[in-house]
Amino acid sequence: MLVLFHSFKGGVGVSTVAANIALSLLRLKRKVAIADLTHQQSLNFHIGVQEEEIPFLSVETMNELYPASEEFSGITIADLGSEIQKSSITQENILHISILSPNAGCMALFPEAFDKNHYYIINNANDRYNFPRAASQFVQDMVQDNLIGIIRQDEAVNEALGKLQPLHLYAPTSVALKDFDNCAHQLLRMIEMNISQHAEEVSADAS
Amino acid sequence: MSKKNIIPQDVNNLLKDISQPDFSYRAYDNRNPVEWHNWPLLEKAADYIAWKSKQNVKI
Repeated sequence: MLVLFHSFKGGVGVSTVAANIALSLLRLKRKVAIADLTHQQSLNFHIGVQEEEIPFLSVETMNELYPASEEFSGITIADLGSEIQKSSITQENILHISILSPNAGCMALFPEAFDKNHYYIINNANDRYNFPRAASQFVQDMVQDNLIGIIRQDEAVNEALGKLQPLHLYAPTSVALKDFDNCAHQLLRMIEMNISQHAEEVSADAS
Repeated sequence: MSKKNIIPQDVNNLLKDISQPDFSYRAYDNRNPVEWHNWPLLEKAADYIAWKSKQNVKI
């Protein structure tokens, strides 16, 4: 299963979310690999260089990524950054996850990028301020069941990176860690559903 | 000056119970379920999404 993380707006934390969900999946004893198709190549920084249990797939394009993820046979988390790459690959076994931040700049671009086939994660939610709270509500109303989860704004994420430590060791009780874990659980449920749907389709085609 | 008087006004407000109906401060009010309608940007975004899905524009 290939899970693509991207955003139509830069600086919303795509790599942060992708890396922390990969680490949550690893803690849930799932087989996870990562791939970074961005120019920044910052996913390894977020994962932590000492993390050897997550293999890094060295690919540069979507056309290389898909066969590499099929060969890996676990869950491949790929960071596409803010560039949506065109590819001839069919949607089978691919989940598109768009990361949003509840700020005005991101909300202004949201209708242009809105896609019913994508799934969404709101990053840096903060219910204390009026606009972010309203924007989170708005996104929930628009995407409905396609919302995987909401990551609350938490300085511990930044501090953990500053300490070069994974979030679950630096701040095991942080709210963001709890939110990343919830998103990972939801993602697993969706992957299992997707695989069973696919199996049903295959058996229906065969009969 | 008594100790009570040196507390800034907004701290006094913060210490009030926001569930009281006469609470005049709009701080941390999360009781309105359709709050995003108050923001023209979000209203316009919602209209745009609705228009696109009505026109069946590939988005």
